[in-house]
Amino acid sequence: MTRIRLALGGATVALIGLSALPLQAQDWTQREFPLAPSNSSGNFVAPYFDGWYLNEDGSYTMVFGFMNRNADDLVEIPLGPNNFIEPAIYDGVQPTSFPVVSYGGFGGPRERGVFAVVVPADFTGDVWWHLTTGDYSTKVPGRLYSPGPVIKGAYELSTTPMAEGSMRPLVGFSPDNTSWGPLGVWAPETYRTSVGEPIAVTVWAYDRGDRELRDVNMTLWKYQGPVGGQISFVSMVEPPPPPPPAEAEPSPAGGADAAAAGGRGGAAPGGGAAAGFGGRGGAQNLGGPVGPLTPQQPVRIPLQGTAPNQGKFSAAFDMPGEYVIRVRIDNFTSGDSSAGNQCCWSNAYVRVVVTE
Amino acid sequence: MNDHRLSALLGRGLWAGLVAFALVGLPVLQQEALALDPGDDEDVTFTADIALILQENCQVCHQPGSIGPMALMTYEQVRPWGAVIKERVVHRDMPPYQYDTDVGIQELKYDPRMSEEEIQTIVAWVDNGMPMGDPAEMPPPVEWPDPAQFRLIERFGRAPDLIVRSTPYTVPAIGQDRWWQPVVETGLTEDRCIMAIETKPSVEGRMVTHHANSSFRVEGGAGGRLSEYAIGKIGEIIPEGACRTAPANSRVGWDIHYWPNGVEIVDATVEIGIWLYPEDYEGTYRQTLSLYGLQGGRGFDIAPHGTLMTQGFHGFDTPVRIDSFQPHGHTRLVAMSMQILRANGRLEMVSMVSNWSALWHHSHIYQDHVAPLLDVGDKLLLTGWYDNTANNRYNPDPDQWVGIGDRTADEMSHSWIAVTHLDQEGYEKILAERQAQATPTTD
Repeated sequence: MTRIRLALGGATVALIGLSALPLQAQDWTQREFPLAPSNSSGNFVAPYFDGWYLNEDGSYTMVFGFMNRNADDLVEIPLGPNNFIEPAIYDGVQPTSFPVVSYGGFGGPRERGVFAVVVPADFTGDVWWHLTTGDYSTKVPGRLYSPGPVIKGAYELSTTPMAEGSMRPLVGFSPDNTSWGPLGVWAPETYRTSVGEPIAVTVWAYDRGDRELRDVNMTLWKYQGPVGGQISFVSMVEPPPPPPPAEAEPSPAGGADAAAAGGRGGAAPGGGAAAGFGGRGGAQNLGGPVGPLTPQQPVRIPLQGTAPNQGKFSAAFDMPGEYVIRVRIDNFTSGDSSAGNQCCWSNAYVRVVVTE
Repeated sequence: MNDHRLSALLGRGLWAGLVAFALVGLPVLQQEALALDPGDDEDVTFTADIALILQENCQVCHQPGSIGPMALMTYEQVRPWGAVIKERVVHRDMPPYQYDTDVGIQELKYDPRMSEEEIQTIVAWVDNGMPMGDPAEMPPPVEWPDPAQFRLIERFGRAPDLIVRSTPYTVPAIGQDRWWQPVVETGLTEDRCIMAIETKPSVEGRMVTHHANSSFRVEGGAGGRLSEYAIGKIGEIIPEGACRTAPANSRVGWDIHYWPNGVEIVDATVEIGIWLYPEDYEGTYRQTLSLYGLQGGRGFDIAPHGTLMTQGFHGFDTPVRIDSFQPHGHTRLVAMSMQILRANGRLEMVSMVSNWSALWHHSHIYQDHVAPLLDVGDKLLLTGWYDNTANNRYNPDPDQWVGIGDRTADEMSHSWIAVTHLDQEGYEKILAERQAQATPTTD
């Protein structure tokens, strides 16, 4: 074959600096078998710094997420020496429950924007999130400066409209108690119940896109709680009536071809439970479902005229303890919004004390 | 504005910052690697030797109004940059075409690499004090085309037959990445075969256009990939005999990734210039451009201060010819290779890019007579190398965990590869032709 040469020369020399690393088991900065398939279970959770955005008062919001590297295993790490934030003033708001997620396109197995902390305008240090899974410890810094020689603002997030006008939706527990973004809003009351007795929660969600308003999605998560404690969620969102055929929305501009060809894809956490949602096209008026939800199953909350979208659900607990439910309201019905591109969703959190 | 905000604004123009860095920045980082012998040709002068090299290799970008950060048209303009120019050409950072010179296929359809002789001439000139020489020996200036013009016009000698323009979008000065997805009509009334494609952001929009993907859409479904553009890419050329179809009555769906750069770009657009084969040309085989992933499974992650290798194996259900290879990643990708694992177990290196840069997403297009052939059962083996340490000069923050994602701060791992889908007869025919060309004849 003309001028094809085996690559035992230049390529090897060029890459030796990358490949000739000392072998240290359990040190994921230096992988012993870099091309070996990863284990489907028994893996650790990696903390992620997703970025920061500037607040109107000059303070900054630092946003964090995680990657559970398992195929199926839920990982739970209680707050404490295996799950803490420094400086301690920011500790305690991070999750203890790390489910497996899998988003389409370039969303991948990361859950982004799970929580956030606010640092003052004159903050100059780092906010470190430490996580230990089994015997493997790792950490990640939240910081406003990227120390690389070229890019200082690589992790800046946006508060302004995306290309088609999508923005982070408003979410709250009453019309006058709302927020937006990963920092989100906490329910003003702590719910109290007993094992097996469900609580009922209503959240107000407002699509605030700079375009025609749309439905939003709601997903429910065990955020904090006793290890092994399970929450059974039931959606009580009534689906809207199906639109007459003439009013059905046209095919999305993106669609399967774009996603299959490496597009960003939309919401598909939980291994495809969200079929029919997400993608990069327009909203499909699917509504519902009403009834029990599988983990991280999205619920379409229909827009109701000028009224806010209302998400109603119940949650029942099988073990006593102190829980936090995360309610994520997303705009992944829009083509310019997906997990992979860090927009557009907002968090709400509900504290629940469960007794025997 | 406080210090954080100011700093972020100064540094947040990722691609602009990267470009400036790659073109002029940090020459001291690699000074120790400059191990070439000092030039021994003391007769090398700017007017007699260097000006011509710059005209042929540099001035297309380094002229007023083009994308280079400084003009390199005159002796006065060039002399202050002599040491940087030497640094860049010795390391083959400039001209920007990251493709190993000593590994795999070297015969490429678009190959702007300098010859070793040209590089040594520049080294000699710089090391000898950069003499100007006799002004009478200065070559006449080149009549450069409008920087807004399609580059492939020069190659094909004519304007594109079809131009598809995205609808305008005003990219804000500040904010994170934007994905703009207009759909526009092609105006084609019959199926046509594409000869070449060049995707070109508007001049003002070049620094904020990270990528621009395009696909055909036809009534009732997808019409196939049109093209992929990422910063630095020139274009794609479809070999004679193959056909990448531009469907009749089609629309083009764009997926343009903009990165705000600190300056508002009003009505940014991207144009695709399409050169078509003649109307009666059908092409024997279908050619496609597709994304070939390396990460596999559920994605990948790179630990802080860590490295990573990714691989992807791809097979085909018919014999194929690989027409081009274009690695894709972000700031932590440093190298990618393409090999062929033959069904008999033999491993062949096809292409290697061991100083990959996110600044220049070149599509390496093989000359027709060396484009790799794969039979059914052969596998394409792609390998990527990532460096999340401080040794990677483009790494924004080695303390971070890095995972797959759309944002530039995240990573990707794939190649864009153009493939002509043959049948067994066509495969055997090409093999026989190559064998005949390789066999010496005697009279």
